[in-house]
Amino acid sequence: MTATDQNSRRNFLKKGLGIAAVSSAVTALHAFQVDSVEETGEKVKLLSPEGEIVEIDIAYLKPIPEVNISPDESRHGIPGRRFVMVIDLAQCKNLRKCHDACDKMHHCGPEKEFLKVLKMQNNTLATPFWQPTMCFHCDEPPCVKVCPVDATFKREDGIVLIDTDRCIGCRFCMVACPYSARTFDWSEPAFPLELAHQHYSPETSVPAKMGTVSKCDFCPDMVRKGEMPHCVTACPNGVFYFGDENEDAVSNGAETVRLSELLRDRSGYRYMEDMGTRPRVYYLPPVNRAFPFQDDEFTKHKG
Amino acid sequence: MKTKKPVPLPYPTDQIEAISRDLMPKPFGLSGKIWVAVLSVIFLTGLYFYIEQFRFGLGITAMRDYSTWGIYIANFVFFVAISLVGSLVSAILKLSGARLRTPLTRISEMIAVSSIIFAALVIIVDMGRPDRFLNVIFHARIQSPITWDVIVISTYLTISLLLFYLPLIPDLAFMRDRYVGIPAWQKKMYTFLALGWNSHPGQEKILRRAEQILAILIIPVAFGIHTVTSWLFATTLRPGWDSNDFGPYFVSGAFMVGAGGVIAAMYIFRTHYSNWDKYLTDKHFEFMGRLLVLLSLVYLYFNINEYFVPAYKMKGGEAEHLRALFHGRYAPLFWSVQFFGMVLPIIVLMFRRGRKPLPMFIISIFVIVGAWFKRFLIVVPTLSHPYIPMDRLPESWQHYIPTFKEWSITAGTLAGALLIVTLLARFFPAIPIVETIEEAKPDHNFEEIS
Amino acid sequence: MSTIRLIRLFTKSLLVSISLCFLPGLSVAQSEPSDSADTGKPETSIELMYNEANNHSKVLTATVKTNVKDTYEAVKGISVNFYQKEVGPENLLGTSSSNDKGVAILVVPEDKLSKTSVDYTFIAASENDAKFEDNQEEISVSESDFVMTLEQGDSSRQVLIKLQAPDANGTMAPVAEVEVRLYVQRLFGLLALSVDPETTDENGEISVDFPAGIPGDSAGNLIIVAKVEEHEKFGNLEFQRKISWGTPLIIDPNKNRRELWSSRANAPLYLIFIINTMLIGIWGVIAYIVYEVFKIWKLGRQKAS
Repeated sequence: MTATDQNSRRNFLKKGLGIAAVSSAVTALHAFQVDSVEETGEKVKLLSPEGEIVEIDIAYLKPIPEVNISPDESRHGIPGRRFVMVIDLAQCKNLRKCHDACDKMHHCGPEKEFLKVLKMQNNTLATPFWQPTMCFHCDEPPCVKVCPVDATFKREDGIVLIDTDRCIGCRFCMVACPYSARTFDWSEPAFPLELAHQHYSPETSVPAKMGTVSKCDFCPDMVRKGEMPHCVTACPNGVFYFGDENEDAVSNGAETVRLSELLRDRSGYRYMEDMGTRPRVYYLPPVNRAFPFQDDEFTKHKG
Repeated sequence: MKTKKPVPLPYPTDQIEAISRDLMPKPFGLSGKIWVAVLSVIFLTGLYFYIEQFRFGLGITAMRDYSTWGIYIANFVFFVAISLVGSLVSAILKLSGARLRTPLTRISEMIAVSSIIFAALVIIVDMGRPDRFLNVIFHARIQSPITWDVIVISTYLTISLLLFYLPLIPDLAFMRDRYVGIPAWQKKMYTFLALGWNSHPGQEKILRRAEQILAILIIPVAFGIHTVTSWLFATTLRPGWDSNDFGPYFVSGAFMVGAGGVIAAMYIFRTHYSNWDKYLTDKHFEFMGRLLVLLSLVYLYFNINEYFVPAYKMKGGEAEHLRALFHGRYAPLFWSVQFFGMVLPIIVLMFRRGRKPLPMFIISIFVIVGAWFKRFLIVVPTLSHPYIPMDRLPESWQHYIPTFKEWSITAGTLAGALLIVTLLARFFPAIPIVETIEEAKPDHNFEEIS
Repeated sequence: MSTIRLIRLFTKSLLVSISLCFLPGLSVAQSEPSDSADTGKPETSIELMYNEANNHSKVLTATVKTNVKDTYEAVKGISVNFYQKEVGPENLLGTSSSNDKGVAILVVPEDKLSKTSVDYTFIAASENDAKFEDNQEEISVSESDFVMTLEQGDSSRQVLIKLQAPDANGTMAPVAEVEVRLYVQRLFGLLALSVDPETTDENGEISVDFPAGIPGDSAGNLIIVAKVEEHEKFGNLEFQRKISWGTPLIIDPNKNRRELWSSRANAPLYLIFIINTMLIGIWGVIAYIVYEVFKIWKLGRQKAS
């Protein structure tokens, strides 16, 4: 690597910050992909958040394909973040768009699902409701406690992931999870050939491997792109809110609200709080529902 | 040491010859060959299906995401349980100075060694990625009960092997010197393993001391191995496992099935080899019978604690699990196991006539089979009752019914363990020869515990 | 190259850029599929938006969609030409290709922009595409001057907005009765500071106290965003500024370091101590026994006494 290369990269990085601030013009700018950019000579003036005007080549405004986070890198998490989810049970009518999007993006086979929509009933007199469940990314994760080989881990940003390159398939974590959030590839998972050759990252949970455990990963690959997990963006009813607890804000795509106010005003709770696992997924109780409860055929598990 | 330790040889020749003729390991007769052949077929069938499982994954079993542990884990717990017999007989009985233990020690160590080896193998059988077994060492997380289990199983195996081997050294030397008509390799093996034992007083002293130390050392390790195994369940939040006295519950059950295992082996050896009723006498059966009643009563006590107390409360998920055991899907198995595997042995063995060899053999089979299914009842029903509702799952996911291949692999491991015991008894005396000779001396003093 | 550093840098910039993906409906104009010239190719709809950020860069975004089974799906990779005044090669501002979300983006090059009037007309057109019918859409916007200043007093933090636009004579004059929303930039969207929008007064001004207790980054920095949204005359105007008015985020690096659920490197010390003590103790004895067995072998080589 030559000195000029280094230099131009540094320059670019400086500019990168500027571009990002500027406007909706830039949707998926990736700082890592510098090498592939060929300058066009055409410059635009942009303003950085600090108020400086920077002039940069328009080539840098092009969206760039995503990169893969290696198993080692994926153990650290995104600095300064504490991801959190809030699920509004009053809005869920079991459309299962979340489930389908999750299945599709994680290439879950016919017998695997990271996200379930369960029919719940608090007591026989109460009306049932639909409850999407997934990995709760607990702050006291009983699954991580029991892993003998450090294959599943809790990151600084709150996300619990699995490195299926490390997993020995003892399934102790599945037994330890009181929410039955984890799934196992009992046989060789079937998926398209190009996917099988894709570079594995714990952040995408793809491609899955026979004899290992997998589960909802909170889509950190999407988060790195500045986008929310697939279940959140797929839901047409705004059931899922996702965000950063450190920022005290969650968004369901349509609106961004303060997490503390949302949980305070709408009596947010966590599923089976008495387990002491401190989940990072909160629920808003199914009161003042948007839809009447309707049981339907979608409830069956696909397996 | 209170008394002098005489050099074991020479003795009255006829007595030595009679004992060594009776106790020297013998080539298989017809029944022995059939026994080995049957066990080998079961073992190899299991191995065949295991190779299939290794290639195509655990999908060949009936385990799925909810019933994620099945009969492999139940079988693992069973093997760990029965291996505790080694420490029971060689350590606890030795240290308590029980006179009748001499012919029982070798048998129990053989059972202990073979079952602990298979416990380790069975846990590999249950792994989704057995090819990554070494991760358990190179990426070991000290916080995981599995890591503790790996540590304590390897420790227990090592100590059990030593406890099997050390008392065997004088016998090996005895066979090296006196066993005629055996193939040269067998002689060489005895010579090699006997470590040049020549009853040197220094050797005797070292050996007795080493045995004494091991007998003490194995007790905490034995409690550890089964307590840690119980923690694989008790450290989770699952109904039926979330219990504080799982450790002692498991340990007491393990001693009980261990005693049952020794009784069964005693009976088979006694009836199979001629004259062995002189060494494994009715007195020995009487003694083991009383011991088994005691151990069964202790286990009964823990069972009452384990089932009655939560049943009195009938709390949430626990209630669902208990109902399935008491009058639901698992009720026939549960009550059969509790009655035939625990209550009936207590009743029968209370009577003097029940403590005769044949009734005891039958009872010990009940105890062993009951113990295996008891482990099934500990492992499986809990996972069939997760906290989240299961009604949307397909039927085959809600109920775990092991596949034929799964049963076959499990049967293969049980046959394999029996095969190891059989082969050990084929080449090493199942009853210590030198010690028996020594004890046959009229002036032998049993109170030699320092 | 240090990828990790880049990622960090990137996540920092994320904070700033993400708002872009979740702008609440910015549509200024939307074309209907034209029913002329049926060539058999599917038709598209184009939604054209004008955005101005920090009073400097003018950005045109055209969202191209097509009707598939009664739902609108994004058209990816379609080439969109952006013109001013009217369609024609001499008026071409630039060309952009739509991304995965069907959005083609053009930063309007100032040097090509003809400034003959305070009003602009922009046209986005997809022309001669192999797969889709030609379509175009136009919008008109007026020049404006939208500025946000942040004033830090002894005890007050004020957000000041001023909106001006050229009047009939071409001189800048305040614009009243325009709704402005104030936001704080968050990771996945803009957090509104109030439920209802503020409205400019007769001086074209708004003055709002910035609330306390909104978390910022580790230095307390956050980005305040003021927006005029979908204004019929001005389009979308946005002004954002970074300032350290947030509550600083304190991350204790030692928090939760040694827990039962930590990685193997961060196992609790008492566990390491207990387990190693037991291991050393028990395996020490085993090693001693093995050594004793070795002594038996050595004694065996001597003649028995």
